[in-house]
Amino acid sequence: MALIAALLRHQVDRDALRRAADGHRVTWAGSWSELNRLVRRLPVTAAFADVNAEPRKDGVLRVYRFGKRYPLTPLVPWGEVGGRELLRLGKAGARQVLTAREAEVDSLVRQTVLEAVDVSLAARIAEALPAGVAPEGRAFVRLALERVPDHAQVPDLADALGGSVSTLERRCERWGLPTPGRLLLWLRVLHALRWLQEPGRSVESVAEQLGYSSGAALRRAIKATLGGRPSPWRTEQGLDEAVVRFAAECRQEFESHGAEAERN
Amino acid sequence: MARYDRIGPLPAPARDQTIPGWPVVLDLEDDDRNDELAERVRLRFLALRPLHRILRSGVEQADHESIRSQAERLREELGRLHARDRERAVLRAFIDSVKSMEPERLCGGALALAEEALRRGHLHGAEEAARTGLELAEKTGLTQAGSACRTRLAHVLRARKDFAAAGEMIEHALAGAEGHPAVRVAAIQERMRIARASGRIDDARADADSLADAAERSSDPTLRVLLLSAVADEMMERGDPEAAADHTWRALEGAPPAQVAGLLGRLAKSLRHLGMYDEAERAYEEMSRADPPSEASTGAAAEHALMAACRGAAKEFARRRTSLLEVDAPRGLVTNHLEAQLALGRGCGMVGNDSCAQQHLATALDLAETLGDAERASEAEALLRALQDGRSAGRLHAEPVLARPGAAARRVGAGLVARAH
Repeated sequence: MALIAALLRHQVDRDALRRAADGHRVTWAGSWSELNRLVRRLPVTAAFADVNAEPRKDGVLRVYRFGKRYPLTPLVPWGEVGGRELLRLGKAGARQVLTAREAEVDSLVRQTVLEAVDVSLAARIAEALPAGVAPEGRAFVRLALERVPDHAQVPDLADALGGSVSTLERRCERWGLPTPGRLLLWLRVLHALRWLQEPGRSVESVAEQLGYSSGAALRRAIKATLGGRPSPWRTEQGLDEAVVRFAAECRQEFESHGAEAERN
Repeated sequence: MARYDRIGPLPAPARDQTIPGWPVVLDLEDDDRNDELAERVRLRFLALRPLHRILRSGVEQADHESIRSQAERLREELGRLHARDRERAVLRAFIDSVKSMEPERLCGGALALAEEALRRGHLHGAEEAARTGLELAEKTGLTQAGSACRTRLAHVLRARKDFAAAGEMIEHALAGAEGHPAVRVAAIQERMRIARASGRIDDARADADSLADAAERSSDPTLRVLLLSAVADEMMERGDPEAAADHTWRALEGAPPAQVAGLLGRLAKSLRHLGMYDEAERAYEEMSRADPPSEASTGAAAEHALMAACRGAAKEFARRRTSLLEVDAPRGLVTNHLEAQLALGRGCGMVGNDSCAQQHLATALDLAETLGDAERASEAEALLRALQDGRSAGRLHAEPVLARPGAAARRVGAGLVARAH
């Protein structure tokens, strides 16, 4: 379940987004500054904003600034856009747009929401996992990754799979994955590194988004998985390297437990 | 862009780093106060969106109902273009192809969009439509449509004077056109134009000779017309109107009725360049009988008007020009027709209507520069200079007669008289 931040001034648009975002949470902003604040404070995966939300403000310029602050958080401009606005939106770095008429088609809004919340991190992790990890194991990693921003703990994941914590631990061993607790720790750290690449977010705000009590707690988590301080990891290459290390730990786990389980 | 706009000066993102289909709106960049163009590029953008969505999901997996709903909403917006605007009809046909979800029709629709944009000198729109069509053709294994899209892309690259890329693109197009004669002829014709534009005249000649040989061997009347028309065009470019008239006349023999009007227009132009005004006039008259005024005949109608100026009939020229502009006003075809603008500009200059001549020629120069047609651009420039310098005592002269009519031209002239009887 992803968290979507939205700045939509018309009720009909809000209803359309609510219908389309079924299964995800939507938090509403009343202005561009509030939208930025929400993204800074909450684990927002994607944002939708009416470019004409504030009559005296240049919505396209706000889209551009948002993209600078949160380059990894997709913002979908929404609403009545003419040729000139389209030209400026593209230059402002928008990767998608939903025009007012298109927003009348529910299936299209749903598709746009799906694409926006599709976290690229999931694809990177799936690719890095050892080839032998069973499909159920991969699905579990994906589920855990999606639940990390909701502050999910091991019992929540066990519930989601319909079993106890110890059953989940046995399953992880069989699938060749680290223990659920260790897996969650890694996924939180990877999430954090992804968010930390955005200049608009700080270690403190990301720690809060992930449910840590403080920035220091997040720093400790990073030290426990990658070693050292967060700053060297706050780049695209840093995240890539972190995914590689996570995959290496999974591979080690798979070789010691998963392969044996497969043989049995 | 407003002077204080901070977004306008930003560079355009790469095609794969932006909203799918967005490059079509780049045609607005240097003319962003043009409301009509803003609406046009917006509609092109909206039209291509369902196609991009089909491309992302695959034709089989696409949500047909959703795509149809999107197409229906776009159809409702077409009213923003004039009822007789040619692009409106092209977009309507494209929407139908989207609703059909048939890859072949979709590629054809994208190609028609590209052609329409190119005709208006909108290179970004043409490129994006052709690239989208090409992606679909490649995904669905439509080699013929893929070649047609590549030929269109080569045209765009030629217009941008990127001759190396255009040459590479057209070779790809030719490789995929085996077994599709019409597509192959179009690709060879484009290759001739690229060769000519990049100064490789011998290569253009070799291609023309191979087309003429193929026409000799062909028993398909439609293909024969295509081949001979391509050769005739090349002859005109080469400055040999007699050979052009001869090839066009041969194409007329046994041509399917639908192709007769176009051939007569070509023939009239060649005859005019030979100074055979009576015969050219006869060809235009027959053409207007074969094909009542239509969008396709805009260029020919302008040249017909020019004929009157060439013969010194100023009133008749003015009548034909006014009639053409009136018929065309809601469609805006003349405005975007390079040949028509050149013909009307020259005609106006010849009859002493210098202000209109200047307007037509300035438009022609703009179009020629956008389309990368250096020859037409320098022709328009020379005419404008002649007008401004007053070197011709305020009047332009008829186009220079490129050659004296030889035996072939006289035979064509006699043939035209015989046809009329």
